[in-house]
Amino acid sequence: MENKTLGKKLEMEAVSHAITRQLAKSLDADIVAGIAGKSIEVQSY
Amino acid sequence: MQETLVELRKQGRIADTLLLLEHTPVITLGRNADAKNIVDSRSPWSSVAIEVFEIKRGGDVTFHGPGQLVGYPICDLRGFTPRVGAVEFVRRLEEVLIRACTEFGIDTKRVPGLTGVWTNPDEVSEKKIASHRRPHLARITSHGFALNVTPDLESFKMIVPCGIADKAVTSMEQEWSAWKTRRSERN
Repeated sequence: MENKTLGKKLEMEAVSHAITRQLAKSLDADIVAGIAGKSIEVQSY
Repeated sequence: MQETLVELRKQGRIADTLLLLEHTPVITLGRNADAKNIVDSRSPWSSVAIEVFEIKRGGDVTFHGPGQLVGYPICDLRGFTPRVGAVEFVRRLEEVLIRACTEFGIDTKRVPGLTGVWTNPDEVSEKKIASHRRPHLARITSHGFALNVTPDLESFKMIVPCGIADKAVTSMEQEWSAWKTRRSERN
């Protein structure tokens, strides 16, 4: 599902990235996210 | 897998980790669950009964299934400066979910006296979009959360979610549709 006004697609992976990014920011920490079987690394900022 | 990762985090062999996944359809009963809150465990898509599990967490009855993003943060609370306690960690987790929803144009909030994340700006008919387990006092976090992204909301009719009968459940997808409708009505 796509919201062209917001320029966003409602996909699990996009939401997963958003949550991981926000968690890293909230804790001011590096968080390693394992998303649905494949691993990605997200750095804090 | 989750318990293994908690143990590895305890030993300092892995970094703070966030597991994100979708469960196959399942109903879970917490320690305080009332079995009457399972209305009908037959799947809305077939006559097959969905598996029901009693699990260690607190709280009442919950449904998990495709389209729902479930997360298990496995973090060492001693590693944060300033220190973050279990209750504060859950408060931050709610804030994380609220901000993630905001990234997708969905306004959400906390509701005093209730756990989880709720939509609806009109202050009257809040709907639950995300739930989480109650915090427990452990050094390594393992309590999960569930955010409804694109689940079939009919699934939640099998239960009284979290034992709260007078509040509906929603999803990011449904809130997007409502947002689009409101926007086209305005234009």
